[in-house]
Amino acid sequence: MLSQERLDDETFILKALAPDIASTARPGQFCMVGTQPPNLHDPLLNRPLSIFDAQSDGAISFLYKVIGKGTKLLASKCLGAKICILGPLGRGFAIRADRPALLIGGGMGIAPLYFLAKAGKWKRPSAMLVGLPTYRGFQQLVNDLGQVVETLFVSTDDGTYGHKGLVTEIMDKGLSAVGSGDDGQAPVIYCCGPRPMMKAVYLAAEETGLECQVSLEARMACGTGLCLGCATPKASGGYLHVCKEGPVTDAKEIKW
Amino acid sequence: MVTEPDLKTRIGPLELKNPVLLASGTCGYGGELADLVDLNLLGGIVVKGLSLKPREGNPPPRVWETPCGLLNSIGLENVGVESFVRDKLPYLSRLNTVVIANILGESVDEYARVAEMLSASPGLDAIEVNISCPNVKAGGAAFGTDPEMAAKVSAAVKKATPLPVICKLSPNVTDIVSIARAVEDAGADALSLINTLIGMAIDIEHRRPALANVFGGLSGPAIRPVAVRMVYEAARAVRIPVMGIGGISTGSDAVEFMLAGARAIQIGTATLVRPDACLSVIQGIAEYMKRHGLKKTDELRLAV
Repeated sequence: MLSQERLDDETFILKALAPDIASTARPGQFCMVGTQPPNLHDPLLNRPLSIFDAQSDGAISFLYKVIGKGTKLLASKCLGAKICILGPLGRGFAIRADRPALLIGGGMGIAPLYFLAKAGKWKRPSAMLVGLPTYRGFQQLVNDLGQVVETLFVSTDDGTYGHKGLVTEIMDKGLSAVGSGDDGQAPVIYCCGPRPMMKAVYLAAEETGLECQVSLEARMACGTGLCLGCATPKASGGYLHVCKEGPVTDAKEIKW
Repeated sequence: MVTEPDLKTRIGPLELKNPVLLASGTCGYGGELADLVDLNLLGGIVVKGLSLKPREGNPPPRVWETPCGLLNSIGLENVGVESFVRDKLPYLSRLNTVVIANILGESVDEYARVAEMLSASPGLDAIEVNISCPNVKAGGAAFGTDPEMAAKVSAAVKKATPLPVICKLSPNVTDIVSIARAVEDAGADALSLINTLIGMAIDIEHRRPALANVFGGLSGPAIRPVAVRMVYEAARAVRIPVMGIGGISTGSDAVEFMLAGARAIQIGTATLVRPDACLSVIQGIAEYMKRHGLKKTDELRLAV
């Protein structure tokens, strides 16, 4: 581990040296992260975390929130600690660099979008919409996001910054910023956040016929396609496995 | 000079290069792990349970972590026996390790049919019978909890295939010995145990069962003492070889099962945490044997 930065009581950015992962990771991919030696079993499983950043110096980082035992233990580790990182795993975003890009992230859903915005090499206008609970603790993060996109719109639940309310309420702003379809080049939406938020974004995208890629979250045991635990229902019936056929998928594929 | 211990072991007619296998349901059809572990280093691999027709599995949530354990209700999702033989078996048959297919059915006939279809193509070394499934024809009671039904399934599979038949026992029974003896008498070549323990967890924030299927199977280090006890009991009650399964993640855990009477062991949940856990288990067994001056794995068995 290289560093552990605390944004607020429960939100952290963990940075670790993992050159093999950093050099091959694509935006939207994830890693299974664990802190336990093989003879300690509680918590037992690794935690799936989206890659927040991968740098050319071999560092990778994760933006995460402390939810349970695993993430709590992870947050207690600091510089020099050895952690177990398996990755990069899953399918990342299909980057359409020749189309306008609208990135929409809610809460920890920001994580893969920062990496995407940085690595996107967009040839057309791009914008990001970000929904946060509050601005307190997130000033630096918002500032960093502003550095990697042309236009950034922020909403906060408590109104401490930007629009007060849901990020889905400022979708129109984002679409007009990237120039919705005026030259036949319809924007592509890249979205990650809580499921109700992604559903709302997908339904809005459907109305205007926009392509919408979502990064899914699921309870996961292995992250490598072995346990088949991370099934999510498909629109066409049956299930897809978030770790292998996701986490990023066309929103149309999912039964919302 | 200390000589390397000989890790070879036998499960009935099967010769294994070491006593470590991957357990069904935690290693896919092998190929999923190939990038992460050299499967040729293993004693064997037991692939995901196969049914006559493909199964979609259960709705999510399918997994839930518990203290030192994993509760799952995957619902026996699998590609079905036909697709397995066509798409997965050719890869598996090229591996230099023992390949065992786990099978399941909702009736005695289905078990026999799956075993028969698997035996028609070369590449498989043995069949492991999962008798923990509900017998739909008999109203859903599990085959594995009634000695008579367990024997019926074992006999039917034995008749349907020339391959060695390993019966995988459920721990959700009052008397493991009577089930073990019943399947031995029915002709099973070996036993593997234990399958998962039935459990339940509740998501108290949402006030609903943690798994969509309400009940699930508990695996992982939490169940190890139960598994060791059942292996100890079964190994003393039957003459056929026993494979130990249940919460093994280190060489020491494996040695514990072998001392209890297992000739080989399977690694399950540990592979989900560390894909290469099996390799450190093999190494750990060898180190233990060296430390105790043992030359053959057989010297471990029933040494308690």
